[in-house]
Amino acid sequence: MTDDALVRRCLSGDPTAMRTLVERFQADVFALSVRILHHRQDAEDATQEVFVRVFRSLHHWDASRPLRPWIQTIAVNRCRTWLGKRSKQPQPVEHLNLIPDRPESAPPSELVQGIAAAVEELRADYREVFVLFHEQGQSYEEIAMVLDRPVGTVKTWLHRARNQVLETLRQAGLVPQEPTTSDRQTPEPTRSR
Amino acid sequence: MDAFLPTSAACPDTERLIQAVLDREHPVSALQNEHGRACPACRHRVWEATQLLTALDQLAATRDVSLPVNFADRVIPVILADQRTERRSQQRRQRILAACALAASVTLAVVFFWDRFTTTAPGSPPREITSLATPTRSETPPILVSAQLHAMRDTLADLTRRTAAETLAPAQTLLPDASPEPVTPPTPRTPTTDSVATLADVPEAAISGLEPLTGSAERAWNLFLRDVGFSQAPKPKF
Repeated sequence: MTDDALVRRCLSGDPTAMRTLVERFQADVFALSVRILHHRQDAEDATQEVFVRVFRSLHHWDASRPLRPWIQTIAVNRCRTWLGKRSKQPQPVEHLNLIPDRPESAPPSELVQGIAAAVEELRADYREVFVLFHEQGQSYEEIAMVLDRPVGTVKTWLHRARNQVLETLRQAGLVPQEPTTSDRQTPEPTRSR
Repeated sequence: MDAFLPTSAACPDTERLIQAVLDREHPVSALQNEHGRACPACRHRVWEATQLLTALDQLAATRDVSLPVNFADRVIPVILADQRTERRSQQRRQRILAACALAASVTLAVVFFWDRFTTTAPGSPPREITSLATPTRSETPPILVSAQLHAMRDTLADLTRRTAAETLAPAQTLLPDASPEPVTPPTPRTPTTDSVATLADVPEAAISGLEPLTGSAERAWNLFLRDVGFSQAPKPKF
Protein backbone atom coordinates (compact mmCIF):
# COMPACT_ATOMS: atom_id res chain seq x y z
CA MET A 1 0.00 0.00 0.00
CA THR A 2 1.37 3.42 -0.93
CA ASP A 3 1.84 6.14 1.65
CA ASP A 4 -0.91 8.20 0.05
CA ALA A 5 -3.46 5.42 0.26
CA LEU A 6 -2.37 4.60 3.78
CA VAL A 7 -2.86 8.19 4.88
CA ARG A 8 -6.29 8.34 3.28
CA ARG A 9 -7.34 5.22 5.16
CA CYS A 10 -5.95 6.65 8.38
CA LEU A 11 -7.91 9.85 7.87
CA SER A 12 -11.06 7.83 7.39
CA GLY A 13 -10.50 6.38 10.86
CA ASP A 14 -9.28 2.90 9.98
CA PRO A 15 -7.41 1.56 13.05
CA THR A 16 -5.62 -1.09 11.01
CA ALA A 17 -4.19 1.57 8.74
CA MET A 18 -3.07 3.53 11.76
CA ARG A 19 -1.18 0.55 13.09
CA THR A 20 0.37 -0.03 9.68
CA LEU A 21 1.58 3.53 9.50
CA VAL A 22 3.10 3.39 12.97
CA GLU A 23 4.85 0.10 12.25
CA ARG A 24 6.15 1.40 8.94
CA PHE A 25 7.92 4.43 10.39
CA GLN A 26 8.50 3.64 14.05
CA ALA A 27 12.01 2.24 13.56
CA ASP A 28 13.18 5.33 11.71
CA VAL A 29 11.67 7.72 14.18
CA PHE A 30 12.95 5.84 17.20
CA ALA A 31 16.48 5.51 15.82
CA LEU A 32 16.59 9.19 15.01
CA SER A 33 15.31 10.08 18.45
CA VAL A 34 17.85 7.85 20.18
CA ARG A 35 20.68 9.32 18.16
CA ILE A 36 19.70 12.89 18.76
CA LEU A 37 18.59 12.59 22.36
CA HIS A 38 21.18 9.99 23.46
CA HIS A 39 18.66 8.71 25.95
CA ARG A 40 16.58 5.64 25.33
CA GLN A 41 13.66 6.43 27.63
CA ASP A 42 13.43 9.97 26.35
CA ALA A 43 13.57 8.63 22.80
CA GLU A 44 10.62 6.29 23.49
CA ASP A 45 8.55 9.14 24.89
CA ALA A 46 9.57 11.44 22.05
CA THR A 47 8.67 8.80 19.47
CA GLN A 48 5.24 8.39 21.02
CA GLU A 49 4.75 12.16 20.90
CA VAL A 50 5.89 12.21 17.30
CA PHE A 51 3.19 9.76 16.24
CA VAL A 52 0.54 11.57 18.24
CA ARG A 53 1.45 14.75 16.38
CA VAL A 54 1.67 12.94 13.07
CA PHE A 55 -1.93 11.75 13.38
CA ARG A 56 -3.06 15.10 14.74
CA SER A 57 -1.81 16.94 11.66
CA LEU A 58 -2.06 14.21 9.09
CA HIS A 59 -4.69 16.15 7.15
CA HIS A 60 -2.08 18.90 6.63
CA TRP A 61 0.29 16.55 4.83
CA ASP A 62 0.88 17.47 1.21
CA ALA A 63 0.28 14.32 -0.76
CA SER A 64 2.63 15.50 -3.50
CA ARG A 65 5.59 15.20 -1.12
CA PRO A 66 7.01 12.03 0.39
CA LEU A 67 5.70 11.04 3.78
CA ARG A 68 8.93 9.84 5.38
CA PRO A 69 10.76 13.22 5.42
CA TRP A 70 7.60 14.86 6.69
CA ILE A 71 7.46 12.49 9.66
CA GLN A 72 11.19 12.88 10.23
CA THR A 73 10.74 16.64 10.29
CA ILE A 74 8.23 16.25 13.08
CA ALA A 75 10.63 13.90 14.85
CA VAL A 76 13.53 16.35 14.61
CA ASN A 77 11.34 19.16 15.90
CA ARG A 78 10.13 17.06 18.80
CA CYS A 79 13.70 16.07 19.68
CA ARG A 80 14.74 19.71 19.52
CA THR A 81 11.93 20.63 21.90
CA TRP A 82 12.90 17.74 24.13
CA LEU A 83 16.51 18.87 24.24
CA GLY A 84 15.40 22.39 25.08
CA LYS A 85 13.30 21.13 27.96
CA ARG A 86 16.09 18.90 29.13
CA SER A 87 18.61 21.73 29.14
CA LYS A 88 16.43 23.63 31.57
CA GLN A 89 16.32 20.75 34.03
CA PRO A 90 19.23 19.47 36.11
CA GLN A 91 20.51 16.14 34.87
CA PRO A 92 21.39 13.69 37.61
CA VAL A 93 22.92 11.12 35.30
CA GLU A 94 25.19 11.07 32.32
CA HIS A 95 23.16 10.42 29.20
CA LEU A 96 25.83 8.57 27.38
CA ASN A 97 25.91 5.94 30.09
CA LEU A 98 22.21 5.28 29.62
CA ILE A 99 22.56 4.16 26.03
CA PRO A 100 23.29 0.49 26.06
CA ASP A 101 25.52 -0.78 23.32
CA ARG A 102 24.61 -3.74 21.29
CA PRO A 103 25.32 -6.71 23.50
CA GLU A 104 26.69 -8.80 20.70
CA SER A 105 29.07 -6.15 19.43
CA ALA A 106 32.53 -5.43 20.67
CA PRO A 107 32.91 -2.51 23.07
CA PRO A 108 33.38 0.73 21.20
CA SER A 109 36.84 2.06 20.88
CA GLU A 110 38.05 5.16 22.61
CA LEU A 111 37.84 7.03 19.35
CA VAL A 112 34.19 6.09 18.84
CA GLN A 113 33.33 7.19 22.35
CA GLY A 114 35.21 10.42 21.75
CA ILE A 115 33.24 11.08 18.59
CA ALA A 116 29.97 10.39 20.42
CA ALA A 117 30.95 12.84 23.15
CA ALA A 118 31.99 15.43 20.57
CA VAL A 119 28.70 15.05 18.73
CA GLU A 120 26.91 15.56 22.02
CA GLU A 121 28.61 18.93 22.38
CA LEU A 122 27.57 20.19 18.96
CA ARG A 123 24.87 22.80 18.69
CA ALA A 124 21.45 21.44 17.87
CA ASP A 125 21.29 22.04 14.11
CA TYR A 126 24.85 20.81 13.53
CA ARG A 127 24.12 17.71 15.58
CA GLU A 128 20.94 17.00 13.62
CA VAL A 129 22.77 17.25 10.32
CA PHE A 130 25.65 15.12 11.58
CA VAL A 131 23.33 12.43 12.95
CA LEU A 132 21.12 12.38 9.88
CA PHE A 133 24.10 12.10 7.54
CA HIS A 134 26.61 9.91 9.36
CA GLU A 135 24.35 7.81 11.56
CA GLN A 136 21.04 7.70 9.70
CA GLY A 137 22.77 7.52 6.35
CA GLN A 138 20.58 10.11 4.65
CA SER A 139 21.62 12.18 1.65
CA TYR A 140 22.04 15.94 1.55
CA GLU A 141 18.76 16.29 -0.32
CA GLU A 142 16.84 14.21 2.19
CA ILE A 143 18.32 16.16 5.10
CA ALA A 144 17.46 19.43 3.39
CA MET A 145 13.89 18.23 3.04
CA VAL A 146 13.69 17.13 6.67
CA LEU A 147 15.17 20.32 8.06
CA ASP A 148 13.51 22.53 5.46
CA ARG A 149 16.86 24.14 4.60
CA PRO A 150 18.75 24.55 1.33
CA VAL A 151 21.18 21.82 0.40
CA GLY A 152 24.04 24.33 0.55
CA THR A 153 23.17 25.17 4.14
CA VAL A 154 23.12 21.50 5.03
CA LYS A 155 26.54 21.00 3.47
CA THR A 156 27.94 23.98 5.33
CA TRP A 157 26.53 22.80 8.64
CA LEU A 158 27.86 19.30 8.15
CA HIS A 159 31.29 20.59 7.26
CA ARG A 160 31.37 22.75 10.38
CA ALA A 161 30.08 19.90 12.48
CA ARG A 162 32.90 17.66 11.26
CA ASN A 163 35.42 20.38 11.97
CA GLN A 164 34.15 20.81 15.49
CA VAL A 165 34.15 17.07 16.12
CA LEU A 166 37.71 16.77 14.91
CA GLU A 167 38.78 19.76 16.94
CA THR A 168 37.29 18.18 20.05
CA LEU A 169 39.06 14.92 19.27
CA ARG A 170 42.35 16.76 18.81
CA GLN A 171 41.96 18.58 22.09
CA ALA A 172 41.26 15.25 23.79
CA GLY A 173 44.29 13.69 22.12
CA LEU A 174 42.14 11.17 20.30
CA VAL A 175 43.13 11.95 16.74
CA PRO A 176 44.67 8.73 15.42
CA GLN A 177 48.36 8.85 14.78
CA GLU A 178 49.95 7.21 11.82
CA PRO A 179 51.66 3.96 12.76
CA THR A 180 55.39 3.58 12.35
CA THR A 181 56.85 2.40 9.12
CA SER A 182 57.40 -1.09 10.45
CA ASP A 183 53.76 -1.80 11.22
CA ARG A 184 52.23 0.59 8.66
CA GLN A 185 49.17 -1.10 7.47
CA THR A 186 46.24 0.97 6.34
CA PRO A 187 43.09 -0.45 7.94
CA GLU A 188 40.39 -1.53 5.65
CA PRO A 189 37.26 0.37 6.63
CA THR A 190 34.01 -1.48 6.79
CA ARG A 191 30.92 0.54 6.06
CA SER A 192 27.85 -0.66 7.81
CA ARG A 193 25.57 0.95 5.26
CA MET B 1 38.27 21.95 4.10
CA ASP B 2 40.18 23.94 6.65
CA ALA B 3 40.16 22.41 10.07
CA PHE B 4 38.89 18.97 9.38
CA LEU B 5 41.18 18.08 6.58
CA PRO B 6 44.36 19.98 5.87
CA THR B 7 46.29 19.89 9.12
CA SER B 8 49.21 18.65 7.16
CA ALA B 9 50.45 19.90 3.88
CA ALA B 10 48.50 17.32 1.91
CA CYS B 11 47.91 17.76 -1.78
CA PRO B 12 44.68 19.50 -2.81
CA ASP B 13 43.62 16.50 -4.86
CA THR B 14 43.90 14.28 -1.82
CA GLU B 15 41.86 16.72 0.27
CA ARG B 16 39.16 16.83 -2.40
CA LEU B 17 39.16 13.06 -2.57
CA ILE B 18 38.78 12.75 1.19
CA GLN B 19 35.91 15.24 1.12
CA ALA B 20 34.22 13.29 -1.66
CA VAL B 21 34.56 10.08 0.34
CA LEU B 22 33.09 11.80 3.39
CA ASP B 23 30.17 12.96 1.24
CA ARG B 24 29.71 9.35 0.05
CA GLU B 25 30.46 10.33 -3.52
CA HIS B 26 33.29 7.78 -3.65
CA PRO B 27 33.89 4.56 -1.73
CA VAL B 28 36.54 4.50 0.98
CA SER B 29 38.70 2.30 -1.19
CA ALA B 30 39.20 5.25 -3.52
CA LEU B 31 41.62 6.69 -0.98
CA GLN B 32 44.06 3.87 -1.58
CA ASN B 33 45.82 5.16 -4.65
CA GLU B 34 49.42 5.37 -5.76
CA HIS B 35 49.90 8.99 -4.78
CA GLY B 36 48.52 8.35 -1.31
CA ARG B 37 51.22 5.78 -0.74
CA ALA B 38 54.07 7.81 -2.22
CA CYS B 39 53.44 11.28 -0.72
CA PRO B 40 54.15 11.31 3.05
CA ALA B 41 51.71 14.17 3.82
CA CYS B 42 48.93 12.60 1.81
CA ARG B 43 49.66 9.21 3.29
CA HIS B 44 49.16 10.63 6.80
CA ARG B 45 45.95 12.40 5.85
CA VAL B 46 44.53 9.32 4.16
CA TRP B 47 45.35 7.18 7.16
CA GLU B 48 43.78 9.69 9.57
CA ALA B 49 40.64 10.06 7.45
CA THR B 50 40.29 6.32 7.15
CA GLN B 51 40.47 5.91 10.90
CA LEU B 52 37.82 8.58 11.40
CA LEU B 53 35.54 7.09 8.77
CA THR B 54 35.84 3.71 10.42
CA ALA B 55 35.00 5.24 13.79
CA LEU B 56 31.99 7.00 12.32
CA ASP B 57 30.72 3.74 10.92
CA GLN B 58 31.24 2.09 14.29
CA LEU B 59 29.42 4.95 15.97
CA ALA B 60 26.35 4.32 13.85
CA ALA B 61 26.56 0.61 14.51
CA THR B 62 27.12 0.72 18.26
CA ARG B 63 23.99 2.64 19.17
CA ASP B 64 21.17 0.40 20.23
CA VAL B 65 18.25 1.65 18.23
CA SER B 66 16.18 -1.51 18.47
CA LEU B 67 12.56 -0.81 19.20
CA PRO B 68 10.95 -1.83 22.47
CA VAL B 69 8.72 -4.86 22.25
CA ASN B 70 5.13 -4.10 21.21
CA PHE B 71 5.89 -0.45 20.80
CA ALA B 72 2.96 0.03 18.41
CA ASP B 73 0.59 -1.54 20.93
CA ARG B 74 1.57 1.16 23.39
CA VAL B 75 1.40 4.00 20.92
CA ILE B 76 -1.93 3.27 19.22
CA PRO B 77 -4.14 3.68 22.36
CA VAL B 78 -2.39 6.96 23.14
CA ILE B 79 -3.07 8.19 19.61
CA LEU B 80 -6.73 7.17 19.80
CA ALA B 81 -7.15 8.85 23.18
CA ASP B 82 -5.54 12.00 21.81
CA GLN B 83 -7.86 11.95 18.81
CA ARG B 84 -10.90 11.64 21.10
CA THR B 85 -9.66 14.55 23.23
CA GLU B 86 -8.92 16.59 20.15
CA ARG B 87 -12.37 15.88 18.72
CA ARG B 88 -14.02 16.86 22.00
CA SER B 89 -12.09 20.10 22.28
CA GLN B 90 -12.88 20.88 18.66
CA GLN B 91 -16.59 20.37 19.33
CA ARG B 92 -16.30 22.62 22.38
CA ARG B 93 -14.61 25.29 20.31
CA GLN B 94 -17.35 25.03 17.68
CA ARG B 95 -20.04 25.34 20.36
CA ILE B 96 -18.35 28.38 21.85
CA LEU B 97 -18.03 29.95 18.42
CA ALA B 98 -21.69 29.27 17.64
CA ALA B 99 -22.76 30.75 20.97
CA CYS B 100 -20.66 33.83 20.35
CA ALA B 101 -22.13 34.26 16.87
CA LEU B 102 -25.67 33.86 18.22
CA ALA B 103 -25.04 36.36 21.01
CA ALA B 104 -23.61 38.85 18.56
CA SER B 105 -26.61 38.46 16.25
CA VAL B 106 -29.10 38.93 19.10
CA THR B 107 -27.23 42.00 20.34
CA LEU B 108 -27.22 43.54 16.89
CA ALA B 109 -30.92 42.83 16.43
CA VAL B 110 -31.81 44.32 19.81
CA VAL B 111 -29.77 47.44 19.15
CA PHE B 112 -31.34 47.89 15.72
CA PHE B 113 -34.97 47.46 16.81
CA TRP B 114 -34.48 49.46 20.01
CA ASP B 115 -33.25 52.40 18.01
CA ARG B 116 -36.07 52.06 15.51
CA PHE B 117 -38.97 51.86 18.01
CA THR B 118 -37.76 54.45 20.49
CA THR B 119 -37.03 57.33 18.10
CA THR B 120 -40.02 57.27 15.75
CA ALA B 121 -43.76 57.24 16.39
CA PRO B 122 -45.77 54.53 14.72
CA GLY B 123 -46.93 55.57 11.31
CA SER B 124 -44.60 58.52 10.98
CA PRO B 125 -41.64 58.56 8.67
CA PRO B 126 -38.25 57.83 10.17
CA ARG B 127 -36.39 60.59 11.88
CA GLU B 128 -33.82 60.98 9.20
CA ILE B 129 -36.47 61.50 6.51
CA THR B 130 -38.24 64.17 8.61
CA SER B 131 -35.08 66.12 9.15
CA LEU B 132 -34.15 66.01 5.53
CA ALA B 133 -37.61 66.95 4.24
CA THR B 134 -37.81 70.30 2.42
CA PRO B 135 -40.28 72.74 4.09
CA THR B 136 -43.29 73.70 1.98
CA ARG B 137 -43.80 77.18 0.65
CA SER B 138 -46.80 77.86 2.88
CA GLU B 139 -44.74 77.16 6.01
CA THR B 140 -42.10 79.72 5.10
CA PRO B 141 -42.62 82.92 7.18
CA PRO B 142 -42.97 86.15 5.08
CA ILE B 143 -40.00 88.46 5.15
CA LEU B 144 -41.18 91.98 5.97
CA VAL B 145 -38.94 94.94 5.13
CA SER B 146 -40.42 97.05 7.90
CA ALA B 147 -39.80 94.33 10.46
CA GLN B 148 -36.21 94.10 9.36
CA LEU B 149 -35.82 97.87 9.61
CA HIS B 150 -37.34 97.90 13.06
CA ALA B 151 -35.04 95.13 14.18
CA MET B 152 -32.05 97.08 12.88
CA ARG B 153 -33.19 100.20 14.61
CA ASP B 154 -33.70 98.41 17.93
CA THR B 155 -30.31 96.80 17.68
CA LEU B 156 -28.67 100.14 16.99
CA ALA B 157 -30.50 101.74 19.92
CA ASP B 158 -29.44 98.94 22.25
CA LEU B 159 -25.85 99.31 21.14
CA THR B 160 -25.95 103.08 21.67
CA ARG B 161 -27.43 102.73 25.14
CA ARG B 162 -24.91 100.14 26.19
CA THR B 163 -22.00 102.20 24.88
CA ALA B 164 -23.27 105.28 26.64
CA ALA B 165 -23.71 103.41 29.90
CA GLU B 166 -20.20 101.96 29.72
CA THR B 167 -18.74 105.37 28.90
CA LEU B 168 -20.52 107.10 31.78
CA ALA B 169 -19.81 104.43 34.36
CA PRO B 170 -16.39 105.88 35.50
CA ALA B 171 -17.89 109.33 35.75
CA GLN B 172 -20.63 108.06 38.01
CA THR B 173 -18.07 106.71 40.50
CA LEU B 174 -16.47 110.16 40.67
CA LEU B 175 -19.81 111.93 41.14
CA PRO B 176 -21.81 109.68 43.38
CA ASP B 177 -24.64 112.20 43.83
CA ALA B 178 -25.03 112.94 40.19
CA SER B 179 -27.28 110.17 39.31
CA PRO B 180 -27.91 110.25 35.62
CA GLU B 181 -31.39 110.34 34.44
CA PRO B 182 -32.43 106.83 33.66
CA VAL B 183 -32.66 106.16 30.06
CA THR B 184 -36.06 104.91 29.25
CA PRO B 185 -36.01 102.47 26.47
CA PRO B 186 -38.29 103.37 23.66
CA THR B 187 -41.44 101.43 23.41
CA PRO B 188 -41.01 98.85 20.80
CA ARG B 189 -43.05 99.42 17.79
CA THR B 190 -45.05 96.77 16.34
CA PRO B 191 -43.86 96.07 12.89
CA THR B 192 -46.24 97.20 10.28
CA THR B 193 -46.94 95.40 7.16
CA ASP B 194 -45.75 96.77 3.90
CA SER B 195 -49.23 97.65 2.69
CA VAL B 196 -48.06 100.26 0.17
CA ALA B 197 -45.61 99.72 -2.51
CA THR B 198 -45.73 103.09 -4.32
CA LEU B 199 -46.79 106.64 -3.49
CA ALA B 200 -49.87 106.15 -5.61
CA ASP B 201 -51.23 103.84 -2.95
CA VAL B 202 -50.98 106.52 -0.21
CA PRO B 203 -54.46 107.29 1.11
CA GLU B 204 -56.13 110.57 0.30
CA ALA B 205 -56.19 111.70 3.92
CA ALA B 206 -52.44 111.30 4.21
CA ILE B 207 -51.96 113.28 1.06
CA SER B 208 -54.19 116.06 2.30
CA GLY B 209 -52.06 116.37 5.42
CA LEU B 210 -49.11 117.15 3.23
CA GLU B 211 -50.80 119.91 1.20
CA PRO B 212 -49.14 123.33 1.60
CA LEU B 213 -51.01 126.34 2.83
CA THR B 214 -49.34 129.15 0.89
CA GLY B 215 -49.66 129.81 -2.77
CA SER B 216 -46.00 129.53 -3.68
CA ALA B 217 -45.75 126.40 -1.69
CA GLU B 218 -48.83 125.12 -3.41
CA ARG B 219 -47.29 125.79 -6.78
CA ALA B 220 -44.14 124.09 -5.81
CA TRP B 221 -46.05 121.11 -4.57
CA ASN B 222 -48.05 120.92 -7.76
CA LEU B 223 -44.89 121.09 -9.79
CA PHE B 224 -43.50 118.27 -7.74
CA LEU B 225 -46.61 116.18 -8.19
CA ARG B 226 -46.55 116.85 -11.92
CA ASP B 227 -42.92 115.90 -12.23
CA VAL B 228 -43.36 112.64 -10.46
CA GLY B 229 -46.47 111.89 -12.45
CA PHE B 230 -49.11 111.95 -9.74
CA SER B 231 -51.00 114.99 -10.98
CA GLN B 232 -53.06 115.25 -14.10
CA ALA B 233 -53.21 118.98 -13.85
CA PRO B 234 -51.85 120.98 -16.77
CA LYS B 235 -48.47 122.47 -16.54
CA PRO B 236 -48.88 125.84 -14.92
CA LYS B 237 -48.04 128.85 -16.93
CA PHE B 238 -45.71 131.31 -15.39
